[in-house]
Amino acid sequence: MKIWLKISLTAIAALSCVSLVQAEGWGSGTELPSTLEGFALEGEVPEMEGKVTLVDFWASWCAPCKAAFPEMEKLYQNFKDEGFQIVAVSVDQKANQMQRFLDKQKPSFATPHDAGQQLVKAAEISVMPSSFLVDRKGVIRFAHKGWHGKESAENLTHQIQGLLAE
Amino acid sequence: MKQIFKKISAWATLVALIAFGVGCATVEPYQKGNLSDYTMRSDRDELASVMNSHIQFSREASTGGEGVGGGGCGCN
Repeated sequence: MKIWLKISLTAIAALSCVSLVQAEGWGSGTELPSTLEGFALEGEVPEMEGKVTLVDFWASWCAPCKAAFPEMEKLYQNFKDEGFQIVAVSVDQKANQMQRFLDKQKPSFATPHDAGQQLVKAAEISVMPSSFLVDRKGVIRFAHKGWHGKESAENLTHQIQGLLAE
Repeated sequence: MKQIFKKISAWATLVALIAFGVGCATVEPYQKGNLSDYTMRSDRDELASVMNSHIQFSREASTGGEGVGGGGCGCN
């Protein structure tokens, strides 16, 4: 084989490998710290220990993320007394756009701002929105990609009820 | 002479591949705020869109040929 062909194929293979190798992000079984301190989140971040927590990553420019808010509010209102909470982490780069949406929506649950996108980078999400349902021990039990309306709401309801019953 | 040329070609290919390879960047899903901004829309300026359409239709002689609608038969 000609040397230039060998070199070219080696280079292509090396570049392909670099793009394929990715560190693992959050998923089912990942243990989260009891607080999300250390990720420079702005705003109130509730303690996660002893509570079933839905950690949701959203942005004001993401239509499905915004569509999930009314349903998340319902879930929060339905299960908050049983030990369920929501931490809706905004990954907006523009704080004023995030605030405009929050002022309009007025959610009852915590909506910290990941201005530096450190937490979302650690989670390594592949789609927006992405959410992670964490059990009382701080272990991620379910990961959700995207928002599929009623189907997502029903799945979450079922999963939250299961985790609260444990 | 031929060997030198081959070596130069091989190294040039390698350098080109690396140069183009590092130019590739992955935009993470949470970094797409700027891409989804209103100013990134090609049709954000209605007047400019109408003008561009007018120029295209005039040049292509295809007035009425955009989008869904009649083809001039009067049947819609």
